Amino acid sequence: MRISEIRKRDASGRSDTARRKASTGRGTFLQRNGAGRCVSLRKLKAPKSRAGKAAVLILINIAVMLISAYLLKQPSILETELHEVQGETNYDTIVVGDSHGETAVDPDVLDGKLGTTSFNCARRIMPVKDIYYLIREVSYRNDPKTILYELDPFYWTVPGISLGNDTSVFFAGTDPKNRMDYFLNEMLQQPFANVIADYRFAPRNAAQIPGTAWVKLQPAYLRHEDRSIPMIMKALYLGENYEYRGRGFRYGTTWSAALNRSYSYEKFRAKNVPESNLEYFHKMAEFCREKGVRLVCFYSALPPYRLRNENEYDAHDFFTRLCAEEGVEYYDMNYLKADLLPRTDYDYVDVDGHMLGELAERQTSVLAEILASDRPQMMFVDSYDEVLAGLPEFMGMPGIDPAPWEETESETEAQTETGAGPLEAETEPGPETGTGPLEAETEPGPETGMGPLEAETEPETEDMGETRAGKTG
Amino acid sequence: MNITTLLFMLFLMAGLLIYYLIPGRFQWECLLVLSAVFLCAADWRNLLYIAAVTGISFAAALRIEKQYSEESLPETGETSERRQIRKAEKAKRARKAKHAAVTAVVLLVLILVFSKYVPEALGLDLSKVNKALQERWLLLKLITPFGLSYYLLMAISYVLDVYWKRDRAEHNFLHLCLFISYFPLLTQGPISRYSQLREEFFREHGSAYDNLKAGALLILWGFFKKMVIADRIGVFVRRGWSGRQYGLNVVICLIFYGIYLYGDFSGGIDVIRGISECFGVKVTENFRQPYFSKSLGEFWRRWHISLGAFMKDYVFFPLALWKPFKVLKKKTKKHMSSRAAGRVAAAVMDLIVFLIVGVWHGMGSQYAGWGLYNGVILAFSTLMEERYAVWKTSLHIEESSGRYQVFRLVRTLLIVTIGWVFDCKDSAREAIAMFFRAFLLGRTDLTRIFPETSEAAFYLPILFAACLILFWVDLQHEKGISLREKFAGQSYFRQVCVWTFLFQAILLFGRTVGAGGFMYANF
Repeated sequence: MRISEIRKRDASGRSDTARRKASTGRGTFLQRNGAGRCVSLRKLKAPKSRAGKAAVLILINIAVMLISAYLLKQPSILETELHEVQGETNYDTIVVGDSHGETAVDPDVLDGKLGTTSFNCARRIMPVKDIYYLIREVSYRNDPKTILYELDPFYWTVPGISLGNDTSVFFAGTDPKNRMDYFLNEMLQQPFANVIADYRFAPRNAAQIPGTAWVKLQPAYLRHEDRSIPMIMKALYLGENYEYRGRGFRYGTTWSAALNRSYSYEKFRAKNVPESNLEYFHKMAEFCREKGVRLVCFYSALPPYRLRNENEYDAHDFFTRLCAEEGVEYYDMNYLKADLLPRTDYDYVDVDGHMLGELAERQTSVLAEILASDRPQMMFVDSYDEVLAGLPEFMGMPGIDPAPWEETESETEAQTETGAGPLEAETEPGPETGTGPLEAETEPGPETGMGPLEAETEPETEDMGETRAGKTG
Repeated sequence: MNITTLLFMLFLMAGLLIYYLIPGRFQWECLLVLSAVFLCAADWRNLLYIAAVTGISFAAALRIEKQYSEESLPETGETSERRQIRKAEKAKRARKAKHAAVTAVVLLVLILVFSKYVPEALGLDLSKVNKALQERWLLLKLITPFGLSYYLLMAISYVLDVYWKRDRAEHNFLHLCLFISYFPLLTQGPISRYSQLREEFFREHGSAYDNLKAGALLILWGFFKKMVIADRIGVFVRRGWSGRQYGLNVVICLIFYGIYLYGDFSGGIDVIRGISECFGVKVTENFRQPYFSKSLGEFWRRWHISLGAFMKDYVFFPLALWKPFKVLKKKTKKHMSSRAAGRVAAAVMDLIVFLIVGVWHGMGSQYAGWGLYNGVILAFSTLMEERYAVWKTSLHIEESSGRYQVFRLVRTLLIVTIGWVFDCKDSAREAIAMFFRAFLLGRTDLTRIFPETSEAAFYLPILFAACLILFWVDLQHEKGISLREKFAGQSYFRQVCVWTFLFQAILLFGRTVGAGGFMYANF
């Protein structure tokens, strides 16, 4: 042993390093005990029995999961809304659907025109299966006479269910039987990690932690009061371009240029609609028939830009046929006569089709007239050419290409690579695409492909990235 | 039933509970019932396939054994006439045994061809066919049998092992049925031998706690590889393949695909091994740090080991003993040395074996292309072996030097990574076109793989950290350190930290769009 090293040793024979370790506990896992002294994990006494060891491990993991859920699981607007729907007031008209429906139907206008008591239960990220369970949920302690289903073609190509967001019917629901059915029929088939941990660690969730943690402690939220919804919207960054107007209606206030930049389009293909979604639609129709509920499907009017550039005629044909087969009323608001719902691309929050409040009120008014009319067909045109003829000229929008999908590289490539001509490419997805519509589905992720600006400066985009990953990028 | 689902986890937990509650002598029957339930969850018709495959192998093996057992032994003071009769009888019995083995193998292969390849080749849409069929006959339905590619090879190996007297025939139909239908192996192998599993199935399975602890850790590690690494990197891989890529994009896509496939397949195998270990049944390893290989041959001996071993034992060696190959060897001997002639024969067999392996994956030209690519390289390196030795001597290259080993490692990585191009495209033509686009470096556009989003910036470091963990673990194994043994020696709370880290990482980061089941479950 060298002399310098001997000098460094204390009376107990410990070296400098050993003393430092003893005093700071460095090199071990540290925890402070009740008296404030440092103790290492190594010194903690492990349970003696095997059952005890397993139990401690399980308890620690449950504790971590609970903390993660508290911090990362989004507070649920749907949960609050469902509690309100199941309350004292009986709502005879309920709107279901996704975010398009949420921003497109104003219950006040509907009630003013029809004398009904309505509630808008449409929420973001609502695949078809969830809509079925949502319809059952709103009929639990409620006696609806009419259900208005805003069917967005995008979600029809999604075979999954809503998990990891704030809109899971299982976590937000109140009807035990409905929740049990949802669990047995759907959740059991999902990856175990997604079910047992209904939260995700993504940049947006991390950024939302302070707001999420705060909202969850608010008495209004804990009591599922209506006034907690604006707080949740703020916490989830949904309040930038919207206001909450009560009874589920999200009122669009401002047009957003940034949101438009993140928009991209997934062509609707009937062959991509999973069989399971058709089965669930059939179940919906059956359920409503059994309960004596009038089920009305409608497709909210899209911005002229989308009608001009996308194959909405295919979606129209598909849903017209499907609803006719099921004996369900269907109204495609895109096919309304031009003078009934005049609009420009600036009547929307974004090009995706979330309406500004003023247009939503006008559309709701027309919808009410349709519902009350004996001959609603008179209010619609017959062909897509007539739809296009009634549209205003493209006014130009920042960040939006006048005709973006006519000659995109990827589409041309897909055709070239697969050797498919234009016709084949329209009917058959190129094998190169790899990502089916479902890969774009209910969960967000890096694959939303949002531009940095949108993701950081426009919180709503993050939300939409979540809801419409395929469309926003 | 996808093994990542909650349903499977509940099924597994219920199965384990029953398994350890019943007396040990009934445990194998419990496994058989669980396997039947697992198959029925996909479609009850799977049981018919299992019954057919087991029936064929069972009957063939018994017949083969009967021929061998009835062979009379030479007697002392045997007359030459008697000896000749005995030899003739032996030859007749051998022919009968061969006939039984060949018939069984042909039948089994036909099942595979008609269930897997014919619908694929004809482009049949089974859902439409079934709709039409069920309008007439309600119970009639064509299915793609679950796990057929795996259990069929296992059945073939059993029949041939009995034929080659490496194993004895099983006299209990249900025992063999368990071997063929053992549910953890149905998803993606490993392709096991009956001689390995017989002992495992029917022995005492020790303490439930130890089995569960060992198995669960392996399951967690498998899911970590699958969900945190493969599924996460799969997002970038899918984005990469979704359009035409050029230059570095192709290179990155190929490298990422290699990691993706390794994480997915080896992760899946770890999960399966873990599940099996929970029941106290140890199954063979399927991966041995393949990316540390120094030659392509070694790589394939470390990657999907069970398939490689099957091909070696049941295709390569029989081919070597096949008459046409003996003739080929004889003819080539006339023009070259005996050793060189042996190499030519080996090279041709390599080519054939890899072509078969390629086609085993599917009917597409990309699979055949992949098989040929690997087969040609292996055949070429076999043929050039002597020349390489000469070059190395003349260039004064020391085989044992560190630099040369690194060169070999990088060379193997490069060859393997280029080969993945066949996996990533839907035809060999597209794959080759893609390979050549890698040279158009000027058209590199990395934003087509890594969009400039906060999400990509967020997930890439997580992915990188997870890959580092995987690399470290593989490195330890490569050094011969058994991490599981080392882990078991750690203090309880350190073990808890590792368990918690793995589990919580899966919950927090193992959630990705487009992630599905295991890739090799499709084969």
